[in-house]
Amino acid sequence: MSFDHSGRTAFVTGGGSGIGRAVAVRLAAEGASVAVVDVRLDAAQETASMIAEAGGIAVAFDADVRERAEIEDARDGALAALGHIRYLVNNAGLVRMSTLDELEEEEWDLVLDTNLKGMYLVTRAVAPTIAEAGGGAIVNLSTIESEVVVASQGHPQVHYNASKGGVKMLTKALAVELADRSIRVNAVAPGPIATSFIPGGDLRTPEAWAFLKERILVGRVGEPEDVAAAISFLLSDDASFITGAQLPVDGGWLTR
Amino acid sequence: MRLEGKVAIVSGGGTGIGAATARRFAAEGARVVVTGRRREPLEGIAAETGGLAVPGDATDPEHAPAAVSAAVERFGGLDIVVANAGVGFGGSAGEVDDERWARTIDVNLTGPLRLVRAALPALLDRGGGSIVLVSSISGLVASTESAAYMASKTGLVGLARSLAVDYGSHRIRANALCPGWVITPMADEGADELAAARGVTRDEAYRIGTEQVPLRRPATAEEMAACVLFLASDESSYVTGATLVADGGTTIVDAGSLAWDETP
Repeated sequence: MSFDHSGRTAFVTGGGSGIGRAVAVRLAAEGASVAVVDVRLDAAQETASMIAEAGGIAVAFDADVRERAEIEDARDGALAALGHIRYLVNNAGLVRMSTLDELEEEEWDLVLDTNLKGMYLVTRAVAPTIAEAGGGAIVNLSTIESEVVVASQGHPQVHYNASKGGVKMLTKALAVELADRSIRVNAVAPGPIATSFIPGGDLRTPEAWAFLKERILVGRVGEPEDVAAAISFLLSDDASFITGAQLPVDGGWLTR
Repeated sequence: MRLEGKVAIVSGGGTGIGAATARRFAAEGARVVVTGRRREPLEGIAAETGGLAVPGDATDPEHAPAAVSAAVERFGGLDIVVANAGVGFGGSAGEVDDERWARTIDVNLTGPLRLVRAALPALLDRGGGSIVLVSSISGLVASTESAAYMASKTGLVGLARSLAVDYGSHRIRANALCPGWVITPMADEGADELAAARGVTRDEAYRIGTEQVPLRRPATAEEMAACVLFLASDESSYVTGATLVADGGTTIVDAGSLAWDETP
């Protein structure tokens, strides 16, 4: 482990699986106390147990990022249990696939409310506590699909693309507004990462690799730990002059 | 230690971002070869870091191969290349003469190419490596009367992408770092010009120059070294062809709109 987060508390949404779990585990291993927040309490508890078994400190909370009251309860719980919050990882998100002709308003709202409005609601609730603690850092989960449309034939997802494009600009706007409160705000843009995030899409199969190898320059599919490393860097004091940036963690996908 | 067992070359390693990078790399366990024009500061850094100084001019075709050979002979191989050496000459496209244009491109763009080209066989021998090209936000957005510098730094962003695509399958990663205002001897010259024009101190010039930056300050060389370290280390093993912007938010704002802020 490379970065020193000791004495700092992180609030990680979507911490019950995938990248969120990897980030929570990594930050705890690097000394942070972690509030693991997930819409599924059992998933959040499992992450917290993994951290505790490794000797770290974590508390699990359930909250749907679309629900302001639930987020505020989780925040208050985290403050009560862990004392303060210095880091926020806005990781909770989901993807749905529908062509424009199939896409119903309900599904559009689900994706936009979770991925974009949820990020606003959580930041709205947590940023003031970070400022009160003397400042800190926020990392938002964007995606290479905030920059390019990937495989639109097989993966029609205008709502997902729109939500993540919003995340990219939200990151910049928050960075400007929160700079004077000593809070840096950045985004990571993962490429293909081997998680269960994409419905029915196991990226570790030979068939998946046959497609991905043409786009990934480093010869392998990414792991949640790759993204966790970049998030840990952006939260750390090593990134003290980086704000408003979006860092691709994509094996080189966006390079060409 | 994040660079245990690694060998690195840092060009422009005698001062500024390069010197800070050499120090940070050494603290993280790397053996460092520093190159640059002036022998004295290089040897100071080399002595301090237990590294090796190879003085020379980035425009001399013999210089980069000599630096790479020195790294391989002294430390047994090469894993990391940081192309950081650069010069800054002002002038709009209409003002810049051929000599200044050529010197800027030669040092800032062709120099990194020469260094990387000389280093590639050694990196391939190790089964891969990491290349960090120190560009600038002048490679992303415009600054006034800076045609040659902007062209050279924009070129570095493209060179990093080219290296990422062509050498990715050989496990060589390449990324560009784009710093904003950083307190270095090179930036001091710019600050001193502003200070003279406004009749203020150098510190005050830095403050004026960064008052529209969201973080309201210039960076330290050490902060940039931390970014170079991330890109050089295995922590960024899934990051290649990327442009890491480390500018305190400079390029995300419409700087002109902040002039009306009442922030002191």
